[in-house]
Amino acid sequence: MAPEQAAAAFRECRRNLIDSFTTYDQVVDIVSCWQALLSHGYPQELTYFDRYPELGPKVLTPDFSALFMRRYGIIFEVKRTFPRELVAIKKELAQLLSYDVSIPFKANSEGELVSPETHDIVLIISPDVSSQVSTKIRELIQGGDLHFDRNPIIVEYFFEGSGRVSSYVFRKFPGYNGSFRDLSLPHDRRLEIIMGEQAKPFRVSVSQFMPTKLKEVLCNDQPPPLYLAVYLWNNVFYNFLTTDQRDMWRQGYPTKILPINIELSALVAGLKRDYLPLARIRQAAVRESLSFLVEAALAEYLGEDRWRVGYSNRTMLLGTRRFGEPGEGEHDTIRESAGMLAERYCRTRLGAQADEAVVPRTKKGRQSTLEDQA
Amino acid sequence: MRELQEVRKIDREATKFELKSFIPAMQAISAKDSRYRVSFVTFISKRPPTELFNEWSPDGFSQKTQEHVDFSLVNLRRIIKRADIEDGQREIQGKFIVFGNQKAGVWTALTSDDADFFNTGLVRFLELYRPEVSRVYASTDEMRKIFDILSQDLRTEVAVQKAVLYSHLEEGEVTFRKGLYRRLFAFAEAEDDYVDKVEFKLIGNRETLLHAFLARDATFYYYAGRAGLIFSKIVPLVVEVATRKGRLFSNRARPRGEAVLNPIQIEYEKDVLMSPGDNLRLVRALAKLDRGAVTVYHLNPYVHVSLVDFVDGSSFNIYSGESDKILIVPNFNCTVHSLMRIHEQINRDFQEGSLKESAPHDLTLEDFIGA
Repeated sequence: MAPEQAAAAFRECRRNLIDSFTTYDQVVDIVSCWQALLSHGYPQELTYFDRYPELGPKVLTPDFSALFMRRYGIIFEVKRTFPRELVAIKKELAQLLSYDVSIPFKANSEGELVSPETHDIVLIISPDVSSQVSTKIRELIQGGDLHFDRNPIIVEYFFEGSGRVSSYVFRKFPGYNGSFRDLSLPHDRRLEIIMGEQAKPFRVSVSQFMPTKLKEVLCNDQPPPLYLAVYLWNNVFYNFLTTDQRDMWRQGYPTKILPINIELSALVAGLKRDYLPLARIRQAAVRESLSFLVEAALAEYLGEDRWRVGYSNRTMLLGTRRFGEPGEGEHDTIRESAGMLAERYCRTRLGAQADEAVVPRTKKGRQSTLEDQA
Repeated sequence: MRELQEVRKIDREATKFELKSFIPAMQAISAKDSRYRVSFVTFISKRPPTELFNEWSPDGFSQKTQEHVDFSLVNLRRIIKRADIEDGQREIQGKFIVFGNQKAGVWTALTSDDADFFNTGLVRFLELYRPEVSRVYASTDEMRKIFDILSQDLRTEVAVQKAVLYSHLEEGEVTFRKGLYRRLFAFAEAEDDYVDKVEFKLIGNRETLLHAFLARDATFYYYAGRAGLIFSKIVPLVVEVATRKGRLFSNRARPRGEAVLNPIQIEYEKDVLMSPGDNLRLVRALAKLDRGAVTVYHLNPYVHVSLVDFVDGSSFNIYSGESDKILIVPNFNCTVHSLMRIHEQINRDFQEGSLKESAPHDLTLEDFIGA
């Protein structure tokens, strides 16, 4: 591969990884907003907010769902982007249609299931595409190509950060749209009255949703390997160090790479028990994250779902991450961990030819890898 | 420590002494020797520090402790081996006294041995017991309050001899020369600087009662004057800052297996996070934490970063969704040492604010309905 091609491939690899990280995080934000809003705003009416739904015999996995008064349910699907081509649009709508059947909702954390009298299907999308999606749904429905027994409802989301308080704003799309059939809620608290008739948006500020986000960390989508790898690196791996290893860092060898042996089943059990007790952790996601670290030359696979992670304080060696709009001359760069992991992964995967894949030099010399410590 | 000889002269039979017996000795020596200095450092340790010292010694250090009535006397030796030193090594040796309050977990060490022993010996020795031992940092406002109390309680004027300030934004120190302390702090506020060190005299009835020095890292020196004021006034005031912060920063780790958060809030009197540039400056300040690493989840329009302190594995989520607040939310590992460092990092490289426990408030549907 020519150096220019390698550099371009490296940039694309890094961008894709960082995009997956930020996209997932935004969905976590949105789910956390609704969890905070419905839990605090409807304490009497909300039967259960299911952050990790697996609904019905077909095990449908929408982004989240909520059951009210044991009689009314809402299934939520968050889409950051929406396709423009008819075939792709139909595929997205097919997902919503799959929710258009009588489905039992979770009624409590013990797993009691209740089939509500009715439920609606909310599609949370950006205002950039809401009009287009609304128009397409109308065309398909009026043309007889699409039929919903439950109401599909478009809710737009955007972030308002220009004032003193930053908030996510959720607004029912004012054009062609379905209605919440939430008649089981008190009239003045009905979503249809507030968001529909009164056309008032819900605003969920950062300080309102962040506690939920920090407690939950994940959402129902499988986290991208980079996202979970960062979580493990920042919160979990240190606790696998022995007392001697911790002393070594404390006493003056802060960048020494310390090997940690990880067994998948033990790690997943530990995550469920200690770190993410509310989340649904899938073994496959954790395995993918550990494999990601192998590809980033920060771990090695020992076989039989066992890994050795080369854990270290890579503060001095962190990759830079660019912030700002593409095309802007100046980017704000910050040395941070997601950038470091992404760069290492892409560098290792694409080889040394990539122009930007140069290992940052430090006072101590070239960044060491797992192999260097042997 | 020359004071020991003076103290022993008073009662040659005694084998154990009281801290207060050092006061006349300090005063007497300072009257004769203009270069005399007693250096103090206040720090936090849940366990009595001598218990730690006797348990293990950091590489290159050795110590012997002697218990007295209300203090411990520690004979400390450090050998520094380095190729760039003549003969490949040098030795630092000296004595220090440590006293404090076990209930509060706040201790003060003092020595009149030279500055090299204080900085390279004593302070370094204490720091190597991290995170069990934590340094203490006072904000500009806390320093000003110390001077307010000194001035009011003793009915004295605090005359600054020299002070060092730093800008939150630019490199390089700012020196403030001679003036009343109120002018110093007004200057700091006007220039948006933080105060780092102050050499001062307490003056009452045109007489210098005390000549001393106070730094934001809870080190302070006695040069001359009424040494008793150091023990009766300065030590308690610095200890109070340490106790308050130690208490606020203690037991903040999130319990494993539980969805419980124990956030700490930094509040500002003005809007300090109004633009993307402000957010970037906060993140860059956090990214500068020695032996720390940040992960940026969001930079604009709101800030959310995760920060790991590799000194002891403490980790935090730090975010701001309001222009006058920063929230620090500890994860499953969190030490006083780490919170102290992070708070000081924000104070120095971003902006100083006041610390508060973040209490959750009940939300209702109306709180979410927008206009």
